[in-house]
Amino acid sequence: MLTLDDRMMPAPGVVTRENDGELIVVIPQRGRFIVLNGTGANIFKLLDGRMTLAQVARHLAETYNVPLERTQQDVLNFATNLYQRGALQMVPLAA
Amino acid sequence: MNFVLQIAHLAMAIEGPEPWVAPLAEVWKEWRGADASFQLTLIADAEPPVTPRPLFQVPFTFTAGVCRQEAPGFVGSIDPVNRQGVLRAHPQAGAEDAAYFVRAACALTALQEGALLFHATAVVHREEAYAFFGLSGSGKTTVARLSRPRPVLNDDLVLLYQQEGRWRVHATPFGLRRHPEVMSAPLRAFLRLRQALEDRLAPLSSTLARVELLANSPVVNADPLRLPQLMALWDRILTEVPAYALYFRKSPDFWEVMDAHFG
Repeated sequence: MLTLDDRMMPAPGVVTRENDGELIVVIPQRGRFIVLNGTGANIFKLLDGRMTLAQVARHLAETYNVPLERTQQDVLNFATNLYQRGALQMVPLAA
Repeated sequence: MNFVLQIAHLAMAIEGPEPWVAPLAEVWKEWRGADASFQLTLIADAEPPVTPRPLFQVPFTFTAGVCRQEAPGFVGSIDPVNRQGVLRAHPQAGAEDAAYFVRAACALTALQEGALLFHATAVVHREEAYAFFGLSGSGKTTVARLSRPRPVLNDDLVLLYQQEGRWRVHATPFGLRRHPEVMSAPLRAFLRLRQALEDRLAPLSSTLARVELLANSPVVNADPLRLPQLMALWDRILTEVPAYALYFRKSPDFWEVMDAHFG
């Protein structure tokens, strides 16, 4: 189970492509194809392993002027969903 | 035993034991070619344990562009850059396993040559081809049946290849056909099948079209290194060929909707 302290990044082999403001995420090893809308695409691009999920949520809350608590839950749900589908992996703590 | 399989410009020499190659040569005789630059070698090898399952159930893995299929009873590799592939299989493997390996090699070779093996039913109507695609169970075989007496280039896999500035659909031996004398036709449109209670055409969003077409590009869509090339190729095709969603009932009437739209 993910927490806001986790840092996430695209899983190995995942390929993305922007198209018409959406992001196509391909997970070739699992034969899965995910389409993210503009909001999802923005979150996904922030998940590059540098920020914790809490930092990503804070960045989004400040950028879009939305409540932090709700953004934290949205980011956590988003990351958990894509983690379970194989699009994201956790960054090891030592990294 | 040797057999050269030729689909449009793709030619592949298949060498292997007669029990595997002879049935394929018979079924694929309309695609017999002469010269091939790609060599596929099938080797019967009793060393691996008896095959426990069909080869089509064995997933593809990729290392530096080389495709591998490995499971008890099978060790296969396909290297499209160096134009060779080898399948070692237990003698109890069947010609259908060899055929599946050949299909995978065709998919990889096609992309290498700027073409695509595509999961679709392609029907020729008024001298143009319509490529109906969708998930398993979406109705590809049904559409082929409902489209009688129109020629069906294939009800499972077709080859897309650009010739003289236009994308064409070529028949392949990897599925059922109707009117085998028709081997190819210019591609008019992609139709994503959706079974419904009415017949109608609807726009397919640019992103959804790309995702669905990618999902129906077998073998090559499993290689992270090839995906950018594959995506770029679909981008190029979609600038020239429109994609729609076709809602259809299990009736030939959807062709009236098609005619009203495409003329």
